[in-house]
Amino acid sequence: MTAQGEELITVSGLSSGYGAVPVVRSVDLAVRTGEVFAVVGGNGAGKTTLLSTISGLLRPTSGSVRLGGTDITGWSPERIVAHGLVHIPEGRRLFTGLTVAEHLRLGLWNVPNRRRVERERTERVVDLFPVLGERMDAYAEVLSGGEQQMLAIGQALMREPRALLLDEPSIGLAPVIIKRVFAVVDRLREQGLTVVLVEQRVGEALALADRGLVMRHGAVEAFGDAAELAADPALRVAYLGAAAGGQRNEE
Amino acid sequence: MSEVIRTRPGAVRRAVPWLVLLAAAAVLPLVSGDPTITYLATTAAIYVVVGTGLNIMFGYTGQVSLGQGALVAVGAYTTGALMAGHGWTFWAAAPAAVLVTTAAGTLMALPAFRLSSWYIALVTLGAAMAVRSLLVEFEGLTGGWSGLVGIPRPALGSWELGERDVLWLVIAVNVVLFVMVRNIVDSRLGRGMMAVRDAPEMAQSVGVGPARTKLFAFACGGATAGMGGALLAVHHGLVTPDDFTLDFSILFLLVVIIGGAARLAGPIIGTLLFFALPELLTGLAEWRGLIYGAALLALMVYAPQGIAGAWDKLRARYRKGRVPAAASTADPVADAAADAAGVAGTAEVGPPRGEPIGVELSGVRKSFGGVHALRGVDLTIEPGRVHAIVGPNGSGKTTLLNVISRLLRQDEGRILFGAEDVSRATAERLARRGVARVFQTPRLLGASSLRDNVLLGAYARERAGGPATVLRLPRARRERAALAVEADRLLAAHGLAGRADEEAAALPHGEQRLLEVARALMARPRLLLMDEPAAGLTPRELEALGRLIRAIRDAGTTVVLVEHHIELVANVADVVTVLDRGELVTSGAPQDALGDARVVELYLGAPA
Amino acid sequence: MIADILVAGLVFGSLYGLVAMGFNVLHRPTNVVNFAQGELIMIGAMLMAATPIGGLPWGIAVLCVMAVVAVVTLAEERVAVTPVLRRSSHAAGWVITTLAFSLLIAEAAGRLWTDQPSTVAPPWPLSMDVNHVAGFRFSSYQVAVVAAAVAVVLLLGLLDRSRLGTALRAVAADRDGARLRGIDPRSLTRRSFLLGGALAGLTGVLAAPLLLASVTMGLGLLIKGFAALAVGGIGDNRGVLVAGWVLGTVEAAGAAYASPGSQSVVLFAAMLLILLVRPNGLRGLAVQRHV
Repeated sequence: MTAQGEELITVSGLSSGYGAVPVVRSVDLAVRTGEVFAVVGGNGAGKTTLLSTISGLLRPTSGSVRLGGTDITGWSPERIVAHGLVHIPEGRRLFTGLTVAEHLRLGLWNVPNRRRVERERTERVVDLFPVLGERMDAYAEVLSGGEQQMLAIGQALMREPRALLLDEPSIGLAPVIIKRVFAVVDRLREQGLTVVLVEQRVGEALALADRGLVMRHGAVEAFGDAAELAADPALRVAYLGAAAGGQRNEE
Repeated sequence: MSEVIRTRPGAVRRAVPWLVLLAAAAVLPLVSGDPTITYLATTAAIYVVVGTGLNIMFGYTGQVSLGQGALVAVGAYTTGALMAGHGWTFWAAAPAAVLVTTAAGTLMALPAFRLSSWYIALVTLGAAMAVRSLLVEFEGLTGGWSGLVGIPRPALGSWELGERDVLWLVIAVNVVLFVMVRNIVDSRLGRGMMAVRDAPEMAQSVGVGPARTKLFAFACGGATAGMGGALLAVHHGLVTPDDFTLDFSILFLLVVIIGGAARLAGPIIGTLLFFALPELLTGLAEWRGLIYGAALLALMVYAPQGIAGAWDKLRARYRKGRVPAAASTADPVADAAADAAGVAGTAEVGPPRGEPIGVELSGVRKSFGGVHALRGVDLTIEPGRVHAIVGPNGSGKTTLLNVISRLLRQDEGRILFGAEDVSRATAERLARRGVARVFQTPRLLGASSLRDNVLLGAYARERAGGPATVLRLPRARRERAALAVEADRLLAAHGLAGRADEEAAALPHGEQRLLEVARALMARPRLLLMDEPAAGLTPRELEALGRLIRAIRDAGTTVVLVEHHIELVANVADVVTVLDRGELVTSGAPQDALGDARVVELYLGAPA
Repeated sequence: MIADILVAGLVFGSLYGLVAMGFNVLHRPTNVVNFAQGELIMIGAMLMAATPIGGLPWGIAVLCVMAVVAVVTLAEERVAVTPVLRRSSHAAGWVITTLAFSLLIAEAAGRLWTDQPSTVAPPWPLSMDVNHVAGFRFSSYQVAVVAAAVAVVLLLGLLDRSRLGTALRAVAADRDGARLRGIDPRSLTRRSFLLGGALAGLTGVLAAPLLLASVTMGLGLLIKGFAALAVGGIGDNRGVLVAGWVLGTVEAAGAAYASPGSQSVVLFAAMLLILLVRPNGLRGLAVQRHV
C-alpha cells in the first residue's frame, strides 16, 4: 500500500483514440494517495477517453499507466478493477433489470471472502447513502438521476477500492443534487480514498479538488494546484475558446 | 455500356475475363463429347442463376435466407406441373413460375419488416421446411414422394431443344441476369441496398426506405430462384422432393460466401469451386457435407469477403506497392476543406432543391427508460439561417437532432416544417422533402467507392424508375452520367479529386467526414442537420469548416448545427440555442446567448 | 380427441420449450441464437440410442450425455462463436458460423451412426404405457417430461437470481459496463455454453423415448424450438415454455384436424401470425436498454 501523499496513479506519455483518430495526445499526470484530482476541460477535450484508457477499456497507442508501482498498461478492465482501481463511467451505466441490492452484490464480484464481508460492507454503503437502503428492491432504471449516481458510487465502494475514477458525476443532475454528490466525494477523501474526478462543472470541481489538470484538444493545457488552476486564464480558453476567453477578459 | 463507363479506361480490359469465361462455357459442349460434362455444366450454370439472386439478398442487402432452395422447388414444381400436367410451353410456364416464386419470396420477407434481421434466417429455414412438407402433402398437385415426371424440354415450334441447347439457354439467361444485376448494383437501387445493409439509419437519412428495399431484394431473390427452378425442371425432366433438401438451400449461401458476397463474380466463382470441382473429382463429392461446413466456418472467420474479395485486396496491395503515395501534401484535409469553403462546394452542385425549410418544435418530449432526454422543448428554427444547438453532455442535443430528422420518435409534441406537420413522418420521407444529415461518426458504405458514397446522397432526387434503371434505358443513362459528373465535381471541391474510385473505408477519419458532407450536399438539401462536425478537427480544419457552413447557408440552405465547440459556434451561427438537461435555457444571437449568465454558469460552474 | 390434442401439445410443447430455454442460456451473454442447438440435442438423443452410454444406469448415463454435449458446445463457442464476435466484420456472421457448425455435427453423426431411427425406452419406473384418467390418455413418462421442463424453468429462475445469474444479466445489459465492475464476459460466455450444452444433452435424452432417435431429428427441433423462442420472447424462460405448449397444441390440432403431414406447416403459420401481431412475442417484453 502507498502511504498518504505518495504517487498512486502515474500516467506517462499516454496517447490513445478510436481507430485512427487520436483523442488523447501524450498526457502525463500523477495522482497522490488520498487526494481528489480533477480533470477538467471542454466537451471533446479527451477527458473521458483518458479515463477509459487508464481503466483499460481502451488500449493506449503509446505511453504507460502505473498503479502503486505496478505497470498496468494494457491490462483488461476486469483485471484493473480487481487490482483496486474502479472506473465509474459517464452516465453511470447501471444495469437495466437489476435491483439496487443486486448492483451492490455485483460490486463484490470476484472479491475474496465476499460472503464474509458482504453484510458489513452493504451496511457501510447504506450508512453513506441511506436512500439506497430504503430502495434495495427497486430496479436501477426507476431511480432518480441522483440516486443512480449514489448507487454507482456505492457499488464501487463495496470493493473497497484504492482509487475511484469518477467520470462526470454531475451529468443530468439538478444543481442541488450535484452539491450533494460533491459532498460525498469530499467525505470519501476524508476516509482516505483517492478520487480522480472528471467534470465539466469546473468551478465546483476545482473548488473541491486538491490538484488537477486542464485538457484541451487531447493534451494537457495546464496542471497543478486546484486553486491556482481556477484562476488560470487557460481555463477560460479551454472552455469558451480563444475568442470567447479574450472577450470575457476585456469585460 | 454507358457514357460514364466508356470514359473510364480499363472498362474493356475488365470485360475480357468475363468474355473468356462466357466463351469457354459456350464451347464446352462442342469440344467435350461427354454428355455428363454438358449435364454438369448446365446444372452449375443454373446454380449461378439462383446464387446471383441470393447475392442481391445476402451480399448486397444483408438478409440471410435459408429458404432459397425451397423457392427453387416452388419454381421447379410450378413449371413441371404446368408443362407436364397442363401442356403449357416452357415459354409460358417459366414466366408463370417466376411470378409465383416472386410472390412466395416476397411473402417470406413479410416478417422481415417487424423483426430483427437474424429472425429472417430462421423464418426462411422454417419456410423451407414447410414447403417441403407441402410438396409431399399435396399429392394431387405435386405427385407426393415420387414427384413430377415427364417434363418435356423447351421447344420452339416443333423443334425440341437438346442437352446442349438447354445449356446455351441457361448461359443466355445468365448473361441477361448478369447485366441486369450489374445495372441494379451500380445504381441508386444498389446503393440503397448496401446502405440498408451497412448503416440503416444513414440509409433512412438519405431517403432509402428499409422495408421497401428489403422487399425489392427478396423479390429479386424470389424471381431468380423461380427462373432457376424452371430451368432445373426442364433440365432434369423430373422433380422430386428429395432434390430440395435443406442442404440444397445452404449450398447457395455457401456459393455466395465462398465466391464473395456483394461481388458480381461471387456466385460464379463459388459455383465453380464448390459445385463443379467436387463433382468432377468423384472422391471429393462424398466429403462434400464436411467440406461445406468447414469452409463456411473458416471463410466467415478469416475471409468474410470470399475469394473475390481476397483477390481484390491482393490486387489493391499490389497496386499500392507500385504507385508511391502521390497526394501526400502537408495537410490534405484542411486544404480540401479550404477549397470547399471557397463557395465551390455548393456552387458546383447547383442550388438547393427548393426554398430553405424552417422548423418549429412545440412541447417535444422524449425519454429513454427513466431518463428524460427532452422535457418539453419549444423551438423555432428560422429558414435560411445557421442555427446552433449547444449544451453540456447529456443535455439532449443529439436527441433533439434525431427527433427533427425523425430517426427517433418523440413521446409528445409537434414538429412543423413550415406549415406542414411532420410529427409522424418517417426519416426517409423527410429526406425526399430535402432534409440531409451529417452524422457524428461517419456512416459510409465502407466497401464502396467515394463516388458511390456521394451518389448515394442523390438517392432522393433521382428520377429514373426501377425498370429504366434495371435495363439502363437512355433516360436512366443520361441521369446517371449527369449525377456522376456532379459527384466528381463535389469530390473535387472537397479535395478528393482523382480519388473517386478509391474505397471509402481506406480514407483517414478527417476525409471520411468531408465525404459525409459531400454526400449530404449531393442531396441539394433545403435543411442540413449536422451533428458535431468539428469533433477531432485541428484549428485549421475548423476554420475551413466554418467557411463551408457559411457558404452552404448563403446558397440557401437552413443549417442546424449541434456542436460543443463554442469557438466554431460563435463564428458561424446566426442563432444559438442552449440546452441543459433536456430543457431550453436560452436562445438568441451568439453573443447574447453565450454571454448569458446562466450559460456561463452551465459551462464554468457556479462562482465558488 | 381434444383431450389427446392437449396431452400431445403439452408433452411436445415441453420439448420445444426446453429447446428454446437452451437458446436463452446461450443468448444471454453473447446475443447469439445458436443454429446448432438442434444438432446438439440430436447428439444427446443418439448417445442414449446408439452408444454404450445408453446401457449405463439412467442417472449416470444422463450425466455422461450432458457432459459430452457440454464439451461439444464449448468447442462450438471456441471455433464458431467467439472468433466471429471478436472480428464482427459481418453483422450476422454468427448465423453462418453456428449453422456451419451444425452442418459439421450432422455430417459427422451421419458417418458415425446409421440413419435408421431407433426407439429408446424410458427409464424405470417410468413407462410409455397409457393410463386413463378422466378422459385423458397419457403415460407416466409423458408426465415426467412435462415436470422436467417445469423444473428446468424453475432452476434457471434460481440461477438468474444467483450471483452468477446477476452477472450474466449485467453482461447482457451492458457488456463494457460489466467489465468496469470486474466481470469477465468471456469467462461467463464459456460457462453459459457449458450450461446450454448440458441442457441440450438433457433435452436430447428426454426427447429420445418420445420421438424416434435419429441423426436427422435435429432440424425439426431447431425450428420448433425457435418458434417457441420467438413467440415466448427471447430471454423469458417461462414465456418460451408456455409458447411451446401453445405451439405444441396447435401442431397436434393440425395433425388431428388437417393431416399428420401438415403439422409443421400449421405450426409455422401459427408462429408467423402471432409474430405479425406481436413482434416481441406473446408476453411482449421489450428489448433491454441501457439505463
